[in-house]
Amino acid sequence: MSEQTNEGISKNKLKLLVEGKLPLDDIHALLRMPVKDADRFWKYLEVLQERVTWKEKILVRISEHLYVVEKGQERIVKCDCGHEFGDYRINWKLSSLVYARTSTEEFDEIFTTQNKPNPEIVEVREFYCPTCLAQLGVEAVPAGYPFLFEVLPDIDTLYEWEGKPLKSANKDWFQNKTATLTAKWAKEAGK
Amino acid sequence: MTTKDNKKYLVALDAGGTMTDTFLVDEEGNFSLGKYLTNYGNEAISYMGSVGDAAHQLGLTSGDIHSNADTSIYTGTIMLNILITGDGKKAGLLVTRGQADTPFLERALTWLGRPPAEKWKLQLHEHTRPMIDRLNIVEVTERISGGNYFPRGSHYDAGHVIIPMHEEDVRKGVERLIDNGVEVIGICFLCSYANPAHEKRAAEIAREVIKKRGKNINLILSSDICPMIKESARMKTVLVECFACEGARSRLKTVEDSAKADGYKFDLQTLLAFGGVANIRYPRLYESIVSGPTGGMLGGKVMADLKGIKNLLCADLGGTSFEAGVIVGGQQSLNREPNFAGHRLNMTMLATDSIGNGTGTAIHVDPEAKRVILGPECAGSRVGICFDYPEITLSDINVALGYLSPDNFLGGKVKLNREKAIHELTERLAKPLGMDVFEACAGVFELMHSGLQDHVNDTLLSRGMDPGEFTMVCYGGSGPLHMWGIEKGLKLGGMFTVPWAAAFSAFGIAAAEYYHRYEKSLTCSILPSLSNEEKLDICKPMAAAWRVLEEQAYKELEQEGFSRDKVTFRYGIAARYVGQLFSSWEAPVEFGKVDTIDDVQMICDSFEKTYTRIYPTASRFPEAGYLITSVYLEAVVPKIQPKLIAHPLKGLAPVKEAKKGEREAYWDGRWHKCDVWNMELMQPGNRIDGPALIEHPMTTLPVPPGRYVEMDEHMAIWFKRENEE
Amino acid sequence: MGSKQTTLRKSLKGENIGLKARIDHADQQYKDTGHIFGLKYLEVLEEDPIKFDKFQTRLIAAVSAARETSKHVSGSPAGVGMGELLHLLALPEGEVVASSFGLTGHVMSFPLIVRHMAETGLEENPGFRDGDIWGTNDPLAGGPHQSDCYTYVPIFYDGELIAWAAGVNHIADTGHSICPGGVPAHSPTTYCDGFTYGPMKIGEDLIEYKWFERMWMRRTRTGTLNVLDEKMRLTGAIMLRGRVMELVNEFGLEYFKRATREILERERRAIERRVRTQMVPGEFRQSLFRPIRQKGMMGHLYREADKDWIVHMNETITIEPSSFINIDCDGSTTQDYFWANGHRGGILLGMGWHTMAVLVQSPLVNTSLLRMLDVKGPPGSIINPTRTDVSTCAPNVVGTMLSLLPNHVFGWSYFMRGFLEESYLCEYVYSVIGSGGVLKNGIPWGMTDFGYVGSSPRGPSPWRDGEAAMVGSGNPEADFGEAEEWEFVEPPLTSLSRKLIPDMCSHGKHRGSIGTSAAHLISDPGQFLTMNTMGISGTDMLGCSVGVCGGYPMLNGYVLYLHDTNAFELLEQGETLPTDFVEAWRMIDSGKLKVGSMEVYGNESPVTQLKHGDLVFQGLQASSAWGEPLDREFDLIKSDIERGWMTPETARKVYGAVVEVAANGACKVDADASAKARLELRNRRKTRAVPAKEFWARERAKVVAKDFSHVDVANMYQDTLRYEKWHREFYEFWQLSEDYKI
Repeated sequence: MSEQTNEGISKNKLKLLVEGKLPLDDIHALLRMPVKDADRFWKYLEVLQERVTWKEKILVRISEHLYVVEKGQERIVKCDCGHEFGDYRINWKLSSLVYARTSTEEFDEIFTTQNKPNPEIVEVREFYCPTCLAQLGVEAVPAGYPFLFEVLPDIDTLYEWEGKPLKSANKDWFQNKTATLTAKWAKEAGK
Repeated sequence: MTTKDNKKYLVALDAGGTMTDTFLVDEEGNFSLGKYLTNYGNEAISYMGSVGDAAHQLGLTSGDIHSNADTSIYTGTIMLNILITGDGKKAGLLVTRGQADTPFLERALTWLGRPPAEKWKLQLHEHTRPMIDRLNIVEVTERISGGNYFPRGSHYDAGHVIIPMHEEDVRKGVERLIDNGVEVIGICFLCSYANPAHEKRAAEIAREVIKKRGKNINLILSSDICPMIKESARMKTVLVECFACEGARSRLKTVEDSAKADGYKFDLQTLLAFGGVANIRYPRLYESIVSGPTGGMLGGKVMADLKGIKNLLCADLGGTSFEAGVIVGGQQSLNREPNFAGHRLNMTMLATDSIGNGTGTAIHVDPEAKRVILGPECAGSRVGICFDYPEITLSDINVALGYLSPDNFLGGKVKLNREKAIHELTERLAKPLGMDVFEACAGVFELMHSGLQDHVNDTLLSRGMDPGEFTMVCYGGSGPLHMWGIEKGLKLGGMFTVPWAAAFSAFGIAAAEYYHRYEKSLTCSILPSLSNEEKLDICKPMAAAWRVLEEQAYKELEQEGFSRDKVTFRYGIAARYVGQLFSSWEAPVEFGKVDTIDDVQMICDSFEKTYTRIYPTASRFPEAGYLITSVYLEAVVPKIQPKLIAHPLKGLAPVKEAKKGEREAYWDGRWHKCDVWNMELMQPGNRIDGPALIEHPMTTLPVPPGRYVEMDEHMAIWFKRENEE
Repeated sequence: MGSKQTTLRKSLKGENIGLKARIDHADQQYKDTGHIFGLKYLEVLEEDPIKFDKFQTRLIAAVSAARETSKHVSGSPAGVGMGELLHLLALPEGEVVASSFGLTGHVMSFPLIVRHMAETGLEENPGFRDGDIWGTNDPLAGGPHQSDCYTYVPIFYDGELIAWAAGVNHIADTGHSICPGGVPAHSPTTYCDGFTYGPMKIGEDLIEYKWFERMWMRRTRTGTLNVLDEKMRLTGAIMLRGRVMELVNEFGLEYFKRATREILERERRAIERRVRTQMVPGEFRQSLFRPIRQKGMMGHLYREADKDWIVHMNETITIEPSSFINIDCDGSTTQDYFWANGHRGGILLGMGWHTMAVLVQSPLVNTSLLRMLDVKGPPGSIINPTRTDVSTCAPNVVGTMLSLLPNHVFGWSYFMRGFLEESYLCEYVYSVIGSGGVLKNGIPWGMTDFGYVGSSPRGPSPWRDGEAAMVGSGNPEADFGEAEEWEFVEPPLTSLSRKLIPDMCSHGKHRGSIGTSAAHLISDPGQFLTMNTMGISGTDMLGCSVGVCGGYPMLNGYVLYLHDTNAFELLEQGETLPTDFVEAWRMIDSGKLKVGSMEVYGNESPVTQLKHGDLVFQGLQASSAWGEPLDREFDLIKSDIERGWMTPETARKVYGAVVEVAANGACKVDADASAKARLELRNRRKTRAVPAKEFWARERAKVVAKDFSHVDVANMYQDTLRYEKWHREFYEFWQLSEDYKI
């Protein structure tokens, strides 16, 4: 056992952790904390907000590049480049660019050893941000599989857990509304 | 005190993480202790400083000692430091093709040496810093069979060549290693323990190439230094030898040079992990990786022999860790696959278990779960919040409850702040638990001591022993300090400490035997279905292996200056039931021969004896037959031993000057007024009744009410209950 | 110790109630209050927290000591080498209060065994007596699969059943009728599953019945090893029993009873708090697919099993406002004549051993997790089979696969809440070799090679790459043993390598770990030798459906059998042999390595016959990646190449990193060229991708036309769309009318 102490995490250290620059010893100290710092989430939000150029308030981070933010009366998914994906209750993948790999040649570009899937039963879908073209998600599923709605955060419960419920709290926020968009599309196509 | 010229001295040093301790003893058994801050950069300095300190106690200089010393044994943390800092030799390694990642995969043992709570925290598992660069590993096509556990004739015999060696791989590979500038080359092929032919041939080729290139590069063969099954551990062992040993040897050499410049006339010796000592020129210096408690275990052995104690439990309690090992029936138990600095090795080491947190361990409370969490951090030399550490520690409790005087830490060199300790213990421990501060403190000790008791019990029970048959010796800086707590819940046969508890390891090193140990893997399946002739035939390789090991021992000891007639041998085997896997048990046998069926029976019996000492009879399975997996040999030569003299017993009462004053200490829910005594002025025959506190510059021995201590003629301080004799 | 006839005599309050009633009562208490045993207040804890800690610590010490001492008795390579041994202490109702190291998932399945005993009337006949020894390995009774054998003894105090002391480990061979070892790639019905027993009384007065030993010798290929394992489990259980009696003597019976119950509720609260304070609640949707191929393999003997499947494991993981974690598997494949019928013990074991590593992470692990998490599947599906005739021999595989996804979710959820240090993709993976045959002198043998089980990779974090050989599937003390020891027990399998294959990882900002790989040369197999493999993931699919935050999903494992090769001729000519499947393919393509026939599979390979000179290559799965590959730091790429873990070609192709490699292996990144390469990759995305709406319209047309890429895919949809929620999701997403049928 080394001679060290646990001092929790400062905002600056958290920033380094987010950037992947916190030294391993510090991370070990965090992992060894018997009781975690209670205000971590708020510090995290501050760090994240300072990293983006836009002003909308981040409610929760849902991926490396994506955030649910408060925009007026809405809660929308926003990429750190500024691109907006719309209502977070609708799978953001429906507002992205999609590229599906369906052949061995296309698989070879990303699976570089022989243990790759069989294109007859799997397609690999990549979802990109229409603005910055960052790869935001990857699915490997059989053809015809609906887009996986990977995360629908229960934001109001989160803020309640943190002891600071949102003013806009409403049961309706924790609903999957993806079908409203596909229904709209179907209707448009039907016309 | 002592005149200059007419005494022979034995000097033994134990360099620890912080201090280098010296135990200096003359031929009459008079001893003195020396201490000096360990100097990692140049251990010759701390060596000389520590010997000088011990000499000073006798009114002499280090030169006086050195010019009259027969033996100086130095052991320490050189190897450990090389491994931890990564400051070793640039090694090359020849391995069987397909095995180059073995040192990095490490058998997935990424949790070695971590406390249980951290083993469960997988994010904290990490691979150990490798001892070699992946670019310097050369793969050689070859394969040899290691044999199998089925009856003979089922498959290849052990040693059968499945794939002949491709010599060109060796030639090209060694060329590449030389281009890369390696300083030493190891060779470790699969199953080479069963047949070293490929390793030996590869070494020949390597030597030719090295010679042709005009280089001087040492070769280390796994079949030479460690012909034992388990390639990953064997490869690590070869790497330790390559990476750390030559560096360690040259650093030991500087220590030797400084001793010689000071008048010492002989070769410096060092401690080996299984408890022997050897010259620092010893070819398998990897065996000198010694974990902290080894010296103490040897000290325990001396005390056990001296006092006629058959079963002894040795507990080394310090600031950072508590460790324990056992001596059973006069035999120290050995670990055949020890872990060292995050590496699992293939060698034999005196077995010790980590039994708990050291006294510097930080204390946390999870207020919601009302849970006390000890560690994992440790204050080390910063003691606790009473000195220089931001967290409350077990040491703070020792101060708060009055066991440790704030004015006597390190002989008073460090002042501790008791008020601060109590204040912070109140805020951080007692209040979150909703308890009185002293009760909470006593509770934490309860918790810690019961953990120690359980560990002690398990250490014994897992060897099939009843604690009542054991005596316990406590040493290390915190050994005396926690004796009372450990004793409370254990039913031991006896318990003692010594005034030199804080330098007990150095004392043990002084007493080590001069011996080498050799072991060789083999496979002899003694199945019940076999005829006597067949059994005998199957066991013949054991005798042959012993002869080979004997020759090796004679040769090596000759190089260290011992003629054949000085050497005596001890023999033994490692075995299991046929069908058991991966574990073997070591059993000494009376002689190293297999001439008759009775000899075979004797060998099987010795295994049964060992096995049933550990496991209930229900787990015996002789119907399956016996599998002998290795033979070993211990080659012993005489060495002078420190004498512990029996002093005449003085009266029960200590001399008046021994009493230092009074202080209150907390036991059983209330404060007790205690006499404070000076341990250094205690004399054989003295008895001190609890409640009392007996202080030594390096430690304190609290004696609670209902207990007393008594010093015997060898200065062992026995800890006893009032109604006991 | 006498064998007094005693069943459960007293409840906590002293009245006579049976085991079944007690279990029902405890369930009701939890249902009514949300607290285990209805313990709203933890009185014993509150009264003296330190005494309580001491008590709990001592229970854990007792189970640990039992395991550490007994494990060396083992004959099983998995027991000692891999640490696949667990001892645990359970309350009469089956709730586990303390567990040793080892495969801790068993904590989740032992309570089911006790429930099964209560439900089947074993308490009345033969009854539980002091000194009894019990055992089982039946998945229908709660065990995970036939390979995991439980030995347990009731602990009586003063005539009252107060606890169970149990030991469990994975044995070398179960006597499976087709697959030696007992890690079956095919098993149509449970009548093929091997020696299945209990729960039953296998001894009394702490001595096992002789006939039970005879059963092991008679019904399994590795009788000796299995008997030794039985002794090992029993040795530990008896030790534990003794220690518990001592503890009861010391603390008092009342304290023992109350404190053990409070321990469960305290640890339940700890999990609840962890979720509440460190995770983001919500609904997470992921899925898994696994082809199972039996067609042509079983047809003659089992016509009903002559099929191929793509097994669908569908998961919606909800972290609820109460902190409860609900895993809903609606839409998963229907039970059938394959090994994948996931009986509850197997499901919970798999789910437990991963989840503990993320949610509990301490030696305090116990059954309380079962009260904070549940896995539900519609009756008749592989998550909740209703048939007893179909095979039960690998439900644990379904469980472990299912649990990959919650662990994605947990790691991700920590990340969303800001606890990045805790965040990682815990993807225990494994692959097991089952082999056996008859040696040249007529000696039969069988073995489960656990070489890979002990060495799962650790998945990546948002701040570091995945790491190889880190985690022993569910065992905190990972260990994959030594090749020399494995050869000692399976001599025809000559080890050619245990290594990492360059590039065999999922790519991302933080790449997944590289899976361990191994190669064997078959030498002198004797009269015959068969082999099969089994593990997480099947053939032809990836290990799971999604990577996290833009990283690629878990790579599948790989098994390559090469039959009738010129391996020994090559060696004679001074050539060498490939050490992994990438090298093997290269040598086959170059024409140097001649192969009569070959078989290629994912982790699961059917039984195949092997001859002298055949070659077998395996690659373990490689964990999912985290984040977008183009965000990967160049320094990490450089260091991978220097360590031989990645090729410069892949660095260029996947990451847009242009790296020059010097003759001595040192690397340099060309920053300008790399920036250009990355830009090109981004631009290529732009040209190849289409707006989701367009993609949706195109794919919808295919779905409507029932134009699926493969008949197995169509069959999968046809089978699973009968389940309600999945049906709704599918139909709504594609906007299908209700008369649409596949």
